[in-house]
Amino acid sequence: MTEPQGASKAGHEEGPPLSFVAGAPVAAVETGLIRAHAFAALASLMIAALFGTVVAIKLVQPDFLSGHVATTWGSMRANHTQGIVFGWFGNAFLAFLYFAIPRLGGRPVMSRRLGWSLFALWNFGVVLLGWTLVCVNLPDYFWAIKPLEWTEFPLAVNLVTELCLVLMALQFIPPLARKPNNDGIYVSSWYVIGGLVFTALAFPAGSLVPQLAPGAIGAAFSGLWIHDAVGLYVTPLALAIAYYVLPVRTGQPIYSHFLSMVGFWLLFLAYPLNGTHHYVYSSIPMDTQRAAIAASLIMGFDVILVVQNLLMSLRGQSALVRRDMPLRFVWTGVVMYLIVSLQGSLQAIMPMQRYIHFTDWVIGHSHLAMLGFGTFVALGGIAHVWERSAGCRYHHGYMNLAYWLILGGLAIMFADLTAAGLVQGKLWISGAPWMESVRDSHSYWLVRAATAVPILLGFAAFIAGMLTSAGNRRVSTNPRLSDLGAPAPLVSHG
Amino acid sequence: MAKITTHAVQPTPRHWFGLAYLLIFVAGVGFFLLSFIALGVVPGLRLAGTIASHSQADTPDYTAAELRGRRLYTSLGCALCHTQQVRFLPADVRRWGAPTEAWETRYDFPHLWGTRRIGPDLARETRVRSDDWQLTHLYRPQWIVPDSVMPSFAWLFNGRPDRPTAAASDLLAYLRTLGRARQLGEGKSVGVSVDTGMDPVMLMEITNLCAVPFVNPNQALVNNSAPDLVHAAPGRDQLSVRGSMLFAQDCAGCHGANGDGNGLAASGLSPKPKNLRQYRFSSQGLAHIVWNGVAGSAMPAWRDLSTTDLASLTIYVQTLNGSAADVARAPAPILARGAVVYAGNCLSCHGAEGKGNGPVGMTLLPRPANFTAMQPDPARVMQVLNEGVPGTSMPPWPGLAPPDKQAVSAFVRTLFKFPAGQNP
Repeated sequence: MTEPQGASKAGHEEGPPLSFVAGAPVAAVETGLIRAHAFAALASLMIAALFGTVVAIKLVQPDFLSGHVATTWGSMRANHTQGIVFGWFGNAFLAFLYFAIPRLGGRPVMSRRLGWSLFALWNFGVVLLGWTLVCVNLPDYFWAIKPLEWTEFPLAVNLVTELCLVLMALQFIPPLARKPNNDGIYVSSWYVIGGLVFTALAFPAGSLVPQLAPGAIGAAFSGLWIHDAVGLYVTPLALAIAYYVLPVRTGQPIYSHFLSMVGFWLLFLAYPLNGTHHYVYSSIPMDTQRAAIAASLIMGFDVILVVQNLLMSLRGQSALVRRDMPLRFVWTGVVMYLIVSLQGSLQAIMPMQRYIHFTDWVIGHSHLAMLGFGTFVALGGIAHVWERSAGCRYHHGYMNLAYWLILGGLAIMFADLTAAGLVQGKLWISGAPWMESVRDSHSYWLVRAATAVPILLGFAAFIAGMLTSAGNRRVSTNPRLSDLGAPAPLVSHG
Repeated sequence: MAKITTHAVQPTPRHWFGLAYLLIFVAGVGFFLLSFIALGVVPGLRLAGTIASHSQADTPDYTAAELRGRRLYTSLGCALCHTQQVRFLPADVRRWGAPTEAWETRYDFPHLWGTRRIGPDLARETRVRSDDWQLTHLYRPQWIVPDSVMPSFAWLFNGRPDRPTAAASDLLAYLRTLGRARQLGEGKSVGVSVDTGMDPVMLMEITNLCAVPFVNPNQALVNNSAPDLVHAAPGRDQLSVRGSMLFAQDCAGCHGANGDGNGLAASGLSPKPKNLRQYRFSSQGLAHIVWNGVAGSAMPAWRDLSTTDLASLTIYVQTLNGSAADVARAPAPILARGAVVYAGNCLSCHGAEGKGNGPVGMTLLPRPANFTAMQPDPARVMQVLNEGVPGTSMPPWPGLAPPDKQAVSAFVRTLFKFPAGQNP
């Protein structure tokens, strides 16, 4: 409307370059919050991964850490998934947003005090309180673990989470949305705005409605959040990172504004309609299930468009992708996004659902999504933020080591769980006694537990990479900087 | 768009981009509402209609204890490994019966359908296994199912599987409700209610499966036959090897690795698991017990075994009895005296032919021993006469004179029907 000519296409091949990429001054950045959230993110990632490791070991050796409610399988499993989705992704996205919003919006975030309140609420009121309540395992309705996927934390914690989600929207959306804005609203900002608003609505719907609506009816709503947690919270924010990091690191614009738009709108239209595909062949009306399956197929095509747009933006940059750690992490995450989404479309169809639903195939799929896509992109985002924030530099060698360890561990885990799922599905259909499927899973679960070693070492190497660079010694005492950051990488590198 | 020129900006600055509104209200709010209504509210209303039209008016809600148990089930994470959702698939229906329908879940806040099955589905768990089986299994799953990966919930007990806390009792009460709605509604022929859109071939298959009343293959049955194993004789040695492996997997938890009835789980079970070394079993009698379980005890049925595996297990268990070299028949006067004692004291339960089908015996669970199918060692008979069988209706017989005990012991051993050609 009143934006400068062509600004809405800024950052794309059809439009002008993004002003902050071109070297324009950047609004004040809350460096302290970036550092705090990044460290909280990596600490949560490590702890949540350790919870996951305990879960994996218990499937091989049920006596491991048994005998106490705090460390029983169910508690560890809830702490693993919730730690990943809130502790790790929540903090990682917040770190990135504190870095990127002033650049994308041309003005600082709403309030530093709000930022620190949010930091405290999120980490102590959501993550730590949630983990603690899960371990204490109170039976009371308000304080008890919920059996709902991706929202296992008790209702008491959900209240704080919802408050935080609203505060996040208030913290980050106004700086992006208020004009004037030299760059228009860049595609990263679309995903941030859409994702934060959607999640603030979808989270309470998924956490509360199944508690109030009976059985099958509640499950219909529960299915929505199972998918929205991944699709409308992790995915948009990870894509915001990808759309941000790619052009900044290559100095090259995004391939197509049209594909950016189609990809965005189709994602927000189709992704929320996927949810019921978690309950195929249930008593939820069959045409609802079919609609969700159709939306899942549309989703697969949409991801092809999005990934094509992102990868075409890297044309001629393969040498840089290999050399540049943040870029390589993000590129890998984008490729995994394509793989996991096509797998998702495939497994949503009914013949596949008959075979693989309830098996470890799906666990492999979710790890490919959350660890392969979400985590790789978020790690790339954090590395990028780290390189360009005052007093923070990363160590290339450690980051490179982290990349290969996590990638190797994930590849083995994914292949292993996929194979395990096929074996389980086959045995279930064969009518063999149930324990056959448990016994035959044992060797696969052993391999899966072993893959925790490279993955945990990879996370540790990443943390080491954040801590050990010589650049970290030049720590600034100024908590709020009008960022000049690191020099933008030179395109001539590529 | 571009027509609105700069002079419009200065006097009345609009602080928001049009695109921002679009993102907030269409992508964020609008598409959320679309999914919420299309995949939540609309099917929810239809489900509410289905529940209302299919509900059995007398289906009871959870009692306070059952509800406490359900909360425990939830907070302990049981639903993370055990689904409560029999899908509209033949493979599911064969294992657990008719598909889970909305009306069965109308008291479930929140639902416990689950998204992963590591252990079996529990939607129809009621009556499948005995209470002491459930409690011992909760106390220490590997005691009963050696290869299980289920965690122990020992803190719900006072140090022993047969001493549950109130919490464990609540949990057990909840487990007893699983499938209750379906059982109560069964007689009213609700049938399978599926909307259009299911593959007609599969729907037909499911309907056919549901036409026969479903019984879980692990639920003990009293009046049921077992597959005929008479012709499974060839390859006995091979079958016995497989049988020993199956025994270690499926039986050793309760009956002990050597079959002496002192498996780890035995401490929580009443009646105690049989000491299989003290009995000689007929093949068909043993097959009947394995196939159909022992109703009234923790011994589940094993109708999910293949006939070959059933034969293997039968052959192996028969090898456990040590007293192969049987003593000769007792002298006739002693047997005659034993017959009198038997008729006076045992017949009403164990039956005239010793089949365990006396007029009183038919009302008891577990059923009295069938002496035609299993022959206890003399020492075992004397032990039972002196101590009874705790957990069953078999009392001790302190009033019986020792010679009478000896006589009736010898007599009941003659009731055993040896396979043709083996009768001593």
